[in-house]
Amino acid sequence: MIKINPDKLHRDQLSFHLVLTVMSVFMALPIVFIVNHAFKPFTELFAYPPTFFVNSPTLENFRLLFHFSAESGIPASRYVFNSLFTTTIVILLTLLVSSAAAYALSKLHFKGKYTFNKINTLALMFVPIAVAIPRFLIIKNLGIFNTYLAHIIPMLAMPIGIFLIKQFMDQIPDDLIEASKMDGAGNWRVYWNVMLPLVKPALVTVAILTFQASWGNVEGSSIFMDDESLRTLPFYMNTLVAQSGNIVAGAGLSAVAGLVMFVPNLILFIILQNKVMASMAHTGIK
Amino acid sequence: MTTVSAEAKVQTGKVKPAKRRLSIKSKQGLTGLLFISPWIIGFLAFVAYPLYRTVFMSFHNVSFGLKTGWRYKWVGMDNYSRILLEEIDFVIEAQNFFVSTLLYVPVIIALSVIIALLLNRKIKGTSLYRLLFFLPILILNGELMDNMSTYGGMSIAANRFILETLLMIIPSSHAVMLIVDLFELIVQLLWYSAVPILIFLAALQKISKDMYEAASIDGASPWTSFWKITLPMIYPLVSVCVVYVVVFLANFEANPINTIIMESKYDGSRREGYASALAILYSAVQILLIAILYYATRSRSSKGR
Repeated sequence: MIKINPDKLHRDQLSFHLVLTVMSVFMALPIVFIVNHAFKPFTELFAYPPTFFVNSPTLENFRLLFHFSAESGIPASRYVFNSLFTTTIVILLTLLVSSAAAYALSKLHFKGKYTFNKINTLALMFVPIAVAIPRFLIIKNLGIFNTYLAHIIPMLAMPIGIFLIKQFMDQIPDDLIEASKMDGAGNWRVYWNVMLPLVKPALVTVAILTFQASWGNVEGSSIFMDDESLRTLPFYMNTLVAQSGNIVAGAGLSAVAGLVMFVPNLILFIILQNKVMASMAHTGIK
Repeated sequence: MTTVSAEAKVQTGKVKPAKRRLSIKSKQGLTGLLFISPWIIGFLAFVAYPLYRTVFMSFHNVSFGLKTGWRYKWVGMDNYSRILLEEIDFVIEAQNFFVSTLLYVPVIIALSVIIALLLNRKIKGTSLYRLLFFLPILILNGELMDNMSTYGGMSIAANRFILETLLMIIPSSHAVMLIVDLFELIVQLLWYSAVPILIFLAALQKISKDMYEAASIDGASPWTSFWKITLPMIYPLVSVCVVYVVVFLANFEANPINTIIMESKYDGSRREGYASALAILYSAVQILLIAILYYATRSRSSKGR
């Protein structure tokens, strides 16, 4: 058999474990920090030099968060719903649009394909911060200002999604597509039943990236909305911190807000991460 | 789709061979466009048009009055010359960004290839390691990083315990600080390499085991089979990762250039026009970086084959 995957534990493996463990400790540092930070009392939040671990954990910051959110006019659940709703739709639509476009760019032949590819790659390099005002004007002109659509539609143009999915599709041999066309599959079937299952790892990666972009997005709420009941959770967290009008309370609130915004990320990630690995092991292409 | 292509076959069976090709080609073109059309629409509205507006505004002095609305005053290259020749903040940050990215990217790519190789081995507990190595994807966006750097989460120097232990071993405090700095940099680069690791890992898992087997029968050591099999197989993805990492570093919220652009928008003497010019210059810097790194990785791949 091949030497690459030893089944038993021997000295070789121990050194791998050592290297990986040390590295993963550093990878996990930020998470440990976020959790620790949320439980720090204000004396520790402002300690100099700053501490990494919490010494005397307290729930004071969480109490503050509930206190301030109880005072605001719209219940926090509304913001949570808005965030969840828009994020789900954004992920589904982004995956559909990006993968369809990536399939066309990677495997179909039509005029202007190479130009589209070039344009998409160039678009990657453009900083989105710069286009807030032109986007606002478009949203206004389309008449979707102050609707859920204003949260969703601007997020759909995600060049990095197409870029990643296309790179994975490029790796799939054309023979496979030809074989399925021989068996009578049309383009839609090839796309849906052959290509999509094969690029699942890329899809899941894009889903995670999209989730993050959409979940943490404040631009939609601050620029494309002025109806408070349509705004999303990250915006709400920001306003809570700003409204507390108190540096001490603000620091504690933002620490907790960080944790609250992070936990859904983590849960989704753990669920999806298993899927990435499972699907990568079962791809038919070797 | 199936019915359309079937129809095409029936029709083309009757016409002359010269025409048949064209009609299939145009049908293919149509399906291609159909698949890509949602993206084109989204792209035109939310990327291409804003881009055009940004270019337009970069040559103007933009102001907004409650009664007058948006006003654009043509100033020609004025914004650009101010950024490049008069005011220094962008130029300095852009230089820093350029040099540091040029140095970081090769390290990130190398680190992620090594980690992907380690994670690809079937050792007990790899799934946990994989989870841990992808976690930074979640954190690196948003204000969490910002929060961390403000409250000292990033710096090991803040942790007195580690610092003092290090000082016990190495007497010179200069050397210790050097180690600490280097260390912090590497930890940061590790965080940035999460997505490249994912990309490389996916590529590694697609390499057939038969190849390694055949190579080892022919007497290749694991070392040779890494250079002759693994590396050529994952090499096409290196340029993908280069593009991704550069774009990621550039769009990263903690990047000072993004802060400059944001602040310029609300700065009375600068405004939207100036910020637009900044954004365009910034994308030019990124394109230059990617071009350099892309061709650096590309020429090696053609030599290797």
